[in-house]
Amino acid sequence: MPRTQPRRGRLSPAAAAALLLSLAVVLGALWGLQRGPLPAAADFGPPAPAPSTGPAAPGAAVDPVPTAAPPGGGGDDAPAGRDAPRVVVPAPDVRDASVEATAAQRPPAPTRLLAPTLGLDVPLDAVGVTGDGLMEIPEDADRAGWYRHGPAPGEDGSAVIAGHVDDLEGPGAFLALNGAEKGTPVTIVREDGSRLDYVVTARRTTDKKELPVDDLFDREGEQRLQLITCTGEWSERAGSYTDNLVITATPAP
Amino acid sequence: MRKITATTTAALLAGAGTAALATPAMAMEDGGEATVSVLHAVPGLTVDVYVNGEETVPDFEPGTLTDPLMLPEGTYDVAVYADGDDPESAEPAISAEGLEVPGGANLTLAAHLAEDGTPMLSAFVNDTSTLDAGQSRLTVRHAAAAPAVDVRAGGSPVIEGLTNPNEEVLDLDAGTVSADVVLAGTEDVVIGPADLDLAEGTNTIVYAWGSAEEGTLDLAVQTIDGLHGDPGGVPSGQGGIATSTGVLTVLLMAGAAGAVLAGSRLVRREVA
Repeated sequence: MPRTQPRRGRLSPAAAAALLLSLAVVLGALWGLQRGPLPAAADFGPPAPAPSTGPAAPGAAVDPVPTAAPPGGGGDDAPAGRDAPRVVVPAPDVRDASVEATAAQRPPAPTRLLAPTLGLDVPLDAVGVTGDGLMEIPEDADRAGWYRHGPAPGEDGSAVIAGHVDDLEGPGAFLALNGAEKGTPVTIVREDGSRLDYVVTARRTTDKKELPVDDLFDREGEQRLQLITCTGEWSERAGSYTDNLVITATPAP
Repeated sequence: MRKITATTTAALLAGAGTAALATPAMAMEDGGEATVSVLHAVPGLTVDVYVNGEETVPDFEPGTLTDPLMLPEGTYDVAVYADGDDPESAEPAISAEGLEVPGGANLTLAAHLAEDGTPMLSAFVNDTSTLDAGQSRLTVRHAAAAPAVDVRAGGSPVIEGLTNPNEEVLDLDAGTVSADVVLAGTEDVVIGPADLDLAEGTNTIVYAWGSAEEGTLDLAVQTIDGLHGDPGGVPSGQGGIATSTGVLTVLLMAGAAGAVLAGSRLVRREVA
């Protein structure tokens, strides 16, 4: 009937908006629900070092003698054999201790990570730690974070860059890391425009709880990049994926 | 000219520093060696430093600091002579005998002025305990011929009433601070402001040195790095942000509610 037809077909703008919103929300939620295991590939490269026990507890073996004894008193009761060792040391280097002379020089910060063969081109943010002591990761899964407290690319040690594998809107840029293979070229662009070229040498999948943080965040040794994202099964209980995927790259020969 | 009253004083640290030092802050490496740096903070006099009779730091100028020396644990005699003086004949400008250096300790031996302007030696113990990731340590030492001072960061006092030869230690977020030194309880700036780069994982040790009367007050800086802690993990699945499960549930419910709402409107229309 002409009277009912337009009514049936007509959605009030509010109802239409509500429907659209519901649809979007449900689709978004389905992305969340459907994420099962993320695409995975076999690990390669040297095995992850065994989690170390961390630095030895400082001072554990030493009496907490906080300071030097006052002069004059030390001579009499110093244990035999401990007094007056000959000091035969080369003259130490001496430096200007002024504030200006002590200001630290840091290399240019990395601003972009490229891996053309993986279709990866991600802007980088300099990040620190969250309130609960975890590495900070940019909320936006289209960006990645460089751990600014650790080495910068180009410095000795391990430069750590991490990004979300996905967010509630869909896959993140670092999902592409799953395609990394031995020899995959990776480039860092720095704030001064300079570029550093690397090649992938290893990939490791580790349970998040066993992430070898003291190796990953090592500030010494060979220059290397550690690209980190998530992988494994979605754990509803933990509200996160179970594993970290770590891609290691070293300076291109 | 080079007649400076010989004083044999090695200051024992006391006060605020002690609490931090009571934690096992020493001996990053075991093995009976101590790490000792030497700071020259007596204005106006180039010196030679003798340790147990051996010339160890020649031609040492005010406002300079040695790299760390590794010394076997033991007791040491330290004598500071005006540059070029013969220790066989001359009197030391400053000396300390029987300075006990424990194995594993990290010390800074500072030649500086007492509050009354007399040269003295202080052996400061450096806090090398590990910091949390993202944190930096600031140590401030009063080694100047000056009364009690406050240290301000960005204009607000972070250390108050510090006196010679004491120190205060703070752990704080890494970053650059604009620091100045004022007479305690006043706004009278005696040093600074200076930008201090408090690097993560580093103990930045700032000495206020010189003489207020002579107008030679200044800052000297020593840094000890490698004290960093690592982040506890890398939460890189945004699904993985802590609230995601909650968010997802709420969204699902909101979606369902929205569908119900929209549906009910349709139904109502139908009925109407």
